[in-house]
Amino acid sequence: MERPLLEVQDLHVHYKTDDGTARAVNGIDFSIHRGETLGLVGETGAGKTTTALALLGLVPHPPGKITGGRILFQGENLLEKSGKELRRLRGNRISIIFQDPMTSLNPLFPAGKQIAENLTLHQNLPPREALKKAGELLARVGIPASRSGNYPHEFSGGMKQRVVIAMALACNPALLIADEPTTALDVTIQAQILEILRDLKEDFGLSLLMISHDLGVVAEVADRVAVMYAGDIVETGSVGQVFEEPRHPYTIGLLNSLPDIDAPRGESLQPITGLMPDPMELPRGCSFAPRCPRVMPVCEEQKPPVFSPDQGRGVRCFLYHQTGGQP
Amino acid sequence: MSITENKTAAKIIRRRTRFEETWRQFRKNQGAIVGTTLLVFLATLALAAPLAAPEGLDDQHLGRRFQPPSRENILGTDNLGRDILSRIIHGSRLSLSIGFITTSIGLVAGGSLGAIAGYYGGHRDQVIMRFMDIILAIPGFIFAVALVTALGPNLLNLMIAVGLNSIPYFARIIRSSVLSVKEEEYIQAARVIGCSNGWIIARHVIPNAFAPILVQATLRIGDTIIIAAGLSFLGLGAQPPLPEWGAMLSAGRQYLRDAWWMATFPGIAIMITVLAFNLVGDGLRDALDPRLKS
Repeated sequence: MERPLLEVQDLHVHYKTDDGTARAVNGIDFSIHRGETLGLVGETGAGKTTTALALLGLVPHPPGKITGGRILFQGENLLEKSGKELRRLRGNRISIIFQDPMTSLNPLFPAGKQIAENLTLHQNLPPREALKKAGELLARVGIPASRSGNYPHEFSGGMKQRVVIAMALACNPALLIADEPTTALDVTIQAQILEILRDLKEDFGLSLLMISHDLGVVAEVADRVAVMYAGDIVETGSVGQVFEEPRHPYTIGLLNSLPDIDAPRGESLQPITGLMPDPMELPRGCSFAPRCPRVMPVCEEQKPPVFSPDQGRGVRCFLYHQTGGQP
Repeated sequence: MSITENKTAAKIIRRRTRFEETWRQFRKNQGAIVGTTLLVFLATLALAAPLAAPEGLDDQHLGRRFQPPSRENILGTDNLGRDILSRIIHGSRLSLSIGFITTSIGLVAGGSLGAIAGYYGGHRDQVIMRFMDIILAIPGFIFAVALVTALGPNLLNLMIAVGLNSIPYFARIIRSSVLSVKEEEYIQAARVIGCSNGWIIARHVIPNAFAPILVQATLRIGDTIIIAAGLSFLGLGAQPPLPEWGAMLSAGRQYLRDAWWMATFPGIAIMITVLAFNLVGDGLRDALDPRLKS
């Protein structure tokens, strides 16, 4: 099997504040292959966005700091690169789309010009050619090229997100990180944007890291899923595995808490009791132990390693200790 | 989708640029229009001074000293028989250029310092802004007096002193607008596509922080004209025979009982100019403030 495009190994990110150290990301591992879509799901505050920023070398420092691990992109460790080398990579080989398209465009410049900025920056295109290519990119995401002279306030939310996508794809990146790309949009527009992302992924041969708290969105576009909880990846597997037969008690709880249109009337939702632990005071053992319905004594003592109860699946839970996972 | 979208599209094709939008708001403000008219008039007068003034800036006629305003000398003559109207017109060049030059010194130096302080934060912010606080702690006029006295009283040193005195005002206002702009997501987006810090400040931060800067600069020109005239009044700026308004006021002071027009008209000229800048500045502030938009 060929080497993954992106491998994250044992990544730790901490934020140092006056009140203590918030451990936002605690030793996560994942990889994305060429052309693959990985969905990263989790609640607000689980460390998803911090992970995305770490991949780009943009964790705000101070207070944030990557305290350990490796991020291998095309075999090279990004954590060892200089600011200048990272700048050359950002927007060029790795791009990101942010949650709120309303604010991610500079209100003072026309859309086409903002897309062209990326092209002049990384591909040294002369301004006129860059503008022309910006028009083509707009057309690719379903906005007439004739509107490339329009300012951001002249576009609707969904169209702005399309502009942002065109901007992110301008230099033909290998990896696109989409950080909650549809959260700020209404449902019909969400579907359109997901459709575009899926098409473009095929056309450009992109790998996609889809970050979302919306399980529906992830189920729609992802090939594999990683479930994040309190800075750990608690379960990974294919979309089918994770959504059809979840293994980790957190994933099970998460899926049970979703409304089901086929459920009998009057049946109430099953919430997970309690709250996610404070990243300043994570429990010593499994971070989900305080809320886990199947908690065992060992869970409160030790952080569980990754077990793999079936092929292609990883679960950070002692329940699968006996079922043949490697300790 | 198609019909409504086409309608909206048609409506927004004819877009209003930010300039047009601001101009529309600005026009509604009568004071601002009066100020603009005055400024245009003053600027034309200054540019065309040799043509507009009935006499040269230093034409002495000792036979007609201390003439009150009359048909020949509309604003009267001074102790050397010079036509005061002509001197005021020639002097408008001095006052306006002092205002522009000193404000530019403050804008460029204060703006760069404020942008660096606001964008990078941390130690750089602390050092720059505490230094600005030190300058602000000294009353502006006394600061300028001290500086001109040390450097020697002439027009250039006056402009340097008043310019330095303006730096903290610009540094503060630009720092605060940079602070709010740099948190915008499009700044993060620019970082994400690999822009360098210098490029981000120059192209994304400053243009978006521009409105308060423009307002401050306009209002500041009025202030610097007053400070400069004040220094000249004390003999610390323009030296005779330059027709600087403050210096003219100072020269007229000793004859105030007998020839009130010598001191009064230069004073009115200063007042009108400063008023014009303030009216325009206020108008711009209102027009550019998004909270006041309907």
